[in-house]
This record gives sequence, C-alpha cells and structure tokens, in this order.
Amino acid sequence: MSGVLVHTDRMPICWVRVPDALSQDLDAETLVLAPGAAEALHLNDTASLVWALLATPRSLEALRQAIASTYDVDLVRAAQDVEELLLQLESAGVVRRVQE
Amino acid sequence: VSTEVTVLDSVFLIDAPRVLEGELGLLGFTPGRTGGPQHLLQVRQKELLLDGRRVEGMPPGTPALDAVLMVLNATALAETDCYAVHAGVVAKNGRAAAFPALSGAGKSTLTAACVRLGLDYVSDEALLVRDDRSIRPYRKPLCLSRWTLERLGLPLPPAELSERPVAPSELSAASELGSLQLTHVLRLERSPVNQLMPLSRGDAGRMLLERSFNHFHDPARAFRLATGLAAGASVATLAYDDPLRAAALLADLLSSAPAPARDQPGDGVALPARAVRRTDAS
Repeated sequence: MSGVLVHTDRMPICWVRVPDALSQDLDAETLVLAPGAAEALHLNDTASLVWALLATPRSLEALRQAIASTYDVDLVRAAQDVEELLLQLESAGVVRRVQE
Repeated sequence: VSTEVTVLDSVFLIDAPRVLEGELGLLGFTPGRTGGPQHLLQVRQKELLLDGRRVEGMPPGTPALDAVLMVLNATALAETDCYAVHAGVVAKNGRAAAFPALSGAGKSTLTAACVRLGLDYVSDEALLVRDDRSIRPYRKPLCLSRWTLERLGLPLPPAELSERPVAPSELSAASELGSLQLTHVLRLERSPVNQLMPLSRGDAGRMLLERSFNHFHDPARAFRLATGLAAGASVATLAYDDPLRAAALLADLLSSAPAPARDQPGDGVALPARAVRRTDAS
C-alpha cells in the first residue's frame, strides 16, 4: 500500500479535511464526525496531530516529517502509519485528496 | 381506560386491572397532559397492547407491572426531544454526575446507593440533555434487585420475585430539583478496590455517543452535545466493588471543587491500532 498516496504522474497529492466534518479536540484526543455520518471517529493523540495539520492541505511528506519529529520515530515507520491513517480517514469521509 | 400517566413528554392512557393501577400510582407517576404524544396501553392477561399493537420481545414471565414500566420507559425515551444517553445520573447542589453504561452494569444500584447517601436522584436510566446542555431529570421508578434492596436496607419483594420497582420517594429523594449542569462523567469499572482513576476526555466523549439512545435522529446535534459535555466536565473512571463505598466517593466528588486527574497523552506512534474507532451507539 505504501506509495499509493504520494503523488500522481503530474502533481503531488495533498490531503485536507472535508469542509463540513465536525471535530472536537478533547485534550490530546479528537472526535470527528463525517458529514451525514451516524458514527464518530475517535483519534488518538498521534492521529489528532495529523488531523490538526490537515486543517490546511498537507502532503504525505509534510505529515510524516511532523510525526517523525514529534514522536521520535523513523521516517519509514511514520510514513506507513500516516498512509494507513489517511486511508482510514478518507474511507470515513472526513478527508479528501487535493492537488498541491 | 383506568388511569393516565405522564412520562417525560409522553402521555399514556392505561387500561389495566385496578391492582396495577394502584401500583402505578404508588410509584409516583404524575397524571396530566403535556401536549406530547398520547398512547393507549392496554394490559391483558397475557399480553400488552400499545396503540392496539401487541408489544413484542418481553421476556417470558415478566410481571405485568414490570412490563408496563418497560413500555413506558422505552416509548418515552424514543419520543423525547432531549439527547438521551443510557446512564445513571445523580446530583448535588445543581452539579450532576453521569455514569453511562449498558443494562446490567449496576447503574440503578449505584444510583440508589447515592440517593440513600443524600445525593439528588436525577435518573437511573438516562442522561437527558437539552440543546443548551442543561440536564433534564428523568425520575422514573428504580427497578432494584433483591441484593440491592437488602444492601440498602429497603423492603424486599415477595419471595417469588427477584426485584421490585421502587418509587424515588421511597429512597427519600428530594421532590424538586433546580437547574442541573453536568459537571462529571464517570466510567464504571468493577474492581476489588474502590477508587477514582484517570479517564481520557476522548473516551468520555466517545462513551456519551456510544451509549446514546437517539443519536441517530440528528448525529451532528448529538456530536456537538456529547463532545461539548465531555469538554466541559471532569472525567474519571469509578472503580468499585461496593455500591455504597462508590456512592461515598461520588458524594465527595460532587461536594468538592477539584477535578479528578486525567490521562496524559501516550507516547510513540500507534496509529493503525487505535487511530480510528467506530462508535456502536445503539
């Protein structure tokens, strides 16, 4: 799965929150509700950092750099984790892909 | 129709044997019209009819009074305009503590123990939240087990029954409550040690969503209310094995200003395992 989120042939892909998604920061964690959804998502502290960054469009590279520097993990592990999270958030309808 | 009772906003015209009418009256139901939905509940020898339709799903052998109480409760909760969370709720001086939990988790027992220790009875069934986040009392009769009745020093049911409904007044609950604000959200946990432990605010918010009866009516409204309450309340896990000791902890909590400690954020990257969890509110 790694690599599928990075870029298209022409332009890098960025990620951003869906405009009408609701979210509430609860200390280090976040609850998120997709537009029209009945069930909320519960993001842990690390996922909440990604969610906070996605208030504006971010590339996978930018996100993994942020995670790696904040949590002192290697870039490969951070990239895998961020990719998986982004796919989950996209599947849940709370983030979307945009061109950089 | 032999009697009429109001539960939250719902009015029930009840056609039942006179003995049942008397029992309902003793449980503190109030007559009167609210302008809300009206129903006809007919109690027959082997079945209940709500608005002419047979009530299904009642466990075999359920006493008629218990069956009537279940129907009143389920119908009234389905029709309330408030955001409703399955929870026990007690209060002191306008400060309310809610402990959301599934059926059988001990909400009624803990609620009754709290009231016996002098806390205000708000509900043993549902946290009802208005749009301004104030709390609406839902002071239905509490259905208490023989064990709980013994533990709290209350009269026992007939030998053939394992539980009986108890009117709030029987617990010496105050008859009137003023304005209520939710100040504490507690997760119940059975433990050999009676103590308050940390709970993350995210878990508290999720619990208020997962345990909702009616979030699906308006998920966005439910989300705003549940997360708003979690953001503004103190949150903790109440670990206990003895309801009276737990009630004493709750009484101290509601009487004192300091909020319980909360979790610190965890370390490391743990996205795949816990990053996204779906609620299963039902």
